[in-house]
Amino acid sequence: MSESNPTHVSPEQATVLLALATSRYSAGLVRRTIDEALLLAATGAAVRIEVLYVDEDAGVRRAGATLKDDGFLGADPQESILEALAESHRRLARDRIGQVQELAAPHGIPVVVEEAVGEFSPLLEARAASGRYDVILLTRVQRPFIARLLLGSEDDEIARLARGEGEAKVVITEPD
Amino acid sequence: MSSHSPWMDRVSLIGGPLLCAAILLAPTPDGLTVEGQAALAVMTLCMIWWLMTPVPLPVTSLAGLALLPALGALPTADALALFGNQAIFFVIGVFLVAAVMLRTGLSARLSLLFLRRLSKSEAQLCNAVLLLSWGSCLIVVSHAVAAMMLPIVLSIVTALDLPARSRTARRLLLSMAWGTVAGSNLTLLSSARASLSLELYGQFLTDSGRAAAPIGFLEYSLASAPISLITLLICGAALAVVFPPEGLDLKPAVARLDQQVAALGPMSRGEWGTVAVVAGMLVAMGIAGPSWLGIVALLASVATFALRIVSWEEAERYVNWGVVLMYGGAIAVGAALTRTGAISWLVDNIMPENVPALVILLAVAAMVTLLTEVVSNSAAITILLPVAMELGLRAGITPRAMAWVAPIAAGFAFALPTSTPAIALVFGSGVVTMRDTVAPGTVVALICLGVLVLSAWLLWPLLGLAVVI
Repeated sequence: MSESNPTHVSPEQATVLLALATSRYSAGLVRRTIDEALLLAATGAAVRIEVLYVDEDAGVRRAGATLKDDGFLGADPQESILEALAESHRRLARDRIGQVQELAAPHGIPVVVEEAVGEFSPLLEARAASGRYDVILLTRVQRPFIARLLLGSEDDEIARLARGEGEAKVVITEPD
Repeated sequence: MSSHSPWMDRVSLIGGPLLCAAILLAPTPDGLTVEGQAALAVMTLCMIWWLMTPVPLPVTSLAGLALLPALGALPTADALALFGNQAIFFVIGVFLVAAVMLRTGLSARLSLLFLRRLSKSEAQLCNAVLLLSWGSCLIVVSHAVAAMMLPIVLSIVTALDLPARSRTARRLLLSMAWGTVAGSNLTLLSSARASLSLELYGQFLTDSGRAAAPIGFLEYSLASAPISLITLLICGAALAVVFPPEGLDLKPAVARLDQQVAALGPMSRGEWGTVAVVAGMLVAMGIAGPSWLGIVALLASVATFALRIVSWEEAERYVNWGVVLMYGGAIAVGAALTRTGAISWLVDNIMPENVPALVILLAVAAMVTLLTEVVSNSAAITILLPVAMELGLRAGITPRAMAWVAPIAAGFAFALPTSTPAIALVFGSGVVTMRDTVAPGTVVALICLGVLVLSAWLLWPLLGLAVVI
């Protein structure tokens, strides 16, 4: 897990951004989100949690393309597979967002959910740079060490953006 | 659709032809013919494009087929004649049978009835999914089995309301995927790569002036099915260890299966027709000689249309006919390497002296298994089998044995989403991640490799399958 030092707390309104995706989820991260929200609430701020859930449909499209290009199956089997996979993604999203809402409810912390489809990093980077958040939480995605060494860490870039533009505290955990 | 970045696509799209040109224009080495040099240049282009897929696999095969006469590797008539081989027609039949099984719903019916009977515990249900996925490959090509089973397995996961990282959810999905991977080695109908391998073997014999009987349906299964069965047991054990049961109540899953079975209704005319055609095809393949397999498959396909089990429009929607181009071109390119002497020259220059036959056997099997994790099975066979047969010959292993070893080893792809469509499908669900498959999949693959080599060395000779010359 990595963190940056908290430097900015609004005395009136505090917002925690929990960034989740198909490949980025951790039950521990959700619990940590609630903990961070409660810490902010203890300062007297009106806290809310914003959940950004990104359905990374690239995996679904890749599976469909593999079935066509490597498996040589036609449009009809592909269609039923894509629908089954998309439904699996929707179920995952409902389940995970539901867990956040379930944990936040007893503490009276409002949860605002935004669902998006596409790539996680660009969507989160735009929000991280906005300066609206006091804390940003996400999990790492598993990438081979060589890829991270050669191409850099997307998560470190998000943390840099958030600290540089918005002075937010950034928490990055390992996935389950 | 390429699975790589646009940058890598551009590099390979340009790099492939550049490397091809570089090999073609280089001074011809001693011992290599001009035609052989051209064949190597074409194979290099195909290898890069099959690996990196800047264009779809069939397009690469077409490019290879066209370049063979264009660059002087083979006369035009010879290159195009290689396209019209028995394996192509067998593969057409294989995919049409799979299409009929899917379209009529017969495969789904049999699967639901089977699973409904074996849902008393988590372990039993997961093992039932594994066994069913494996056994279905007896008559349906493995990719089609995966496509048929995935919605059924996902509906069970939904019915049980399993959380995202549930062990049972992951075990169910991987049971389906690994079951089809293990099942892809059951018979010639289980995967198209087996018939590709046998065709390359036949061309190798013809082009190198060797005489031997072609390999028949039952003879192929005699060597491959026991290994497939052992692979199944290894997969089952590995999944049970890595994903132990969670103590779930299976009533919701049973209720869901009951609903789906009830919705099936009585067997349709199309399903009965499919049973008759498939049964007839299996019997005919068992008793017909090897040279008749393609004809039997075609006749079975014609029967499905003549009996109105499926229409041509429906068949078109179930099969990607690029498979014909992929296999036709791949066989032509692979055969060209042998026919021009390129393989012989290559092996002369790469093979160290006095390497024991067992080591060669293991090395070939390992290379095929490794390559198949990142490239399509058929591309891996086309690239490696001609070399493997020549290598084996020098080390005292029959090309016939290599014609089994290569496609079976290509079926040990358990780890990565790039390895086979079944694995890509379960990754696409969002439930299974690399952490679930890389380590266990690698261990399973290594054990299976050992089983294959030991079987080839010790068991096949006892079954009358000559391995050592």
